[in-house]
Amino acid sequence: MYAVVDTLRTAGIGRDFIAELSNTRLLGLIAAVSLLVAFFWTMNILLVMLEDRFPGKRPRVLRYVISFGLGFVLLMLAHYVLKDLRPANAPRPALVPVFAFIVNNIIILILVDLVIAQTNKTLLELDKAHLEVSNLVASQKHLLNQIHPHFLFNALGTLKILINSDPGLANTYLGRLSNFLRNSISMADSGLISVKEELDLFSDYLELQRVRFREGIQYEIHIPDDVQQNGLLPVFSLQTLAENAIQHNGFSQGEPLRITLGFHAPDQLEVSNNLIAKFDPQPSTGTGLQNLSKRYRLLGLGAPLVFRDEIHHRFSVTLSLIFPPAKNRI
Amino acid sequence: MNIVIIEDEPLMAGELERMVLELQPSWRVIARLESIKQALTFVEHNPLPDLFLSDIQLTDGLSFEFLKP
Repeated sequence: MYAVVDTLRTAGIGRDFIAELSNTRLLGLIAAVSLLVAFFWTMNILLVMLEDRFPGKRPRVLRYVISFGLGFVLLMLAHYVLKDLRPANAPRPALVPVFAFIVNNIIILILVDLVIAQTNKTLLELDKAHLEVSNLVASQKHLLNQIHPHFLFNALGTLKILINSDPGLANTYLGRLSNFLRNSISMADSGLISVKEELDLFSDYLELQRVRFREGIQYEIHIPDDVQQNGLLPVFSLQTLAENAIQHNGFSQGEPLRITLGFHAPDQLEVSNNLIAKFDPQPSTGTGLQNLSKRYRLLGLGAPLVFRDEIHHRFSVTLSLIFPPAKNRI
Repeated sequence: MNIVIIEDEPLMAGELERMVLELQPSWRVIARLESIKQALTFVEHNPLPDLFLSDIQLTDGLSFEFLKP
């Protein structure tokens, strides 16, 4: 420590009277000044915290005024306490300490305000991010909820017919329907589900439709077992595409709709079907596919690739599967 | 009474036939057709039935179309 003081001396830093101070006194003076600066910092930080306690509009100038006022009082106090440290023959420090204090305090205030501004900015950004996330969750839910009402209406109509004409089939149908609804309710919140689970939803849905359309709807699944177990995709992806295919094709038992699910390594699942022209007074608005793309975007995944081949009457959508790292696999 | 049902949904067609036969057991459903295309082929090769029971909107158009002269 004395070495530092010696360096200060030889470097000629400080005023003439420093030369006349004993090392101990000089150290005391440096410590006192450091302590004073630390006090100024603490005072300003406390003032900011105090300011935060009082809600409503707070003029920043008020804090500045208080800061300088209190600081000046502190300075006078220090001046009084430290007067013994100063050698008797030293020139009386008149305006220099006051000037040093003002510069010091201005720098402190600027730094504190910079920190406050930065914090506020970060908080605002965090708020914005929170809002965005909850917005995405809400729209995700909304997109999922669009699946049900129309489908339920048809299912109940079908059930009414079956109850009279074929009670056995009505029983099977109702079982499948409740299975499908239970799964779709429990999985609607999950975002991503395994290919296996989605295939269950997909085939339950198609089997329900096959009660209405009989051999008019046919489907094949060619997806390896390990992909079914380990691959993930957004819930209702396949069900949405099945619904879409049924909606937009003019199939009949004589000219059935054929839906095929295939897998292309490393991670592409292809849903394809034959195109059968359909008379439709209300042409497709593309809502189903748009919703699917939106949901993929919300989950941060690449949008599904849609391919429509009018010449070969073939329609296909390719989805990217997600394979979590092996240790996270269920 | 000979009846032809035109309906693209097999379940509905079956239900319609069941209801007709329940009301009039002596009537006969001689054909169940699914599309306008099938209906046109049918009227070309068969004598007209006494009654058509038809869905209006079929997968390949409105059923009024095939009734036009």
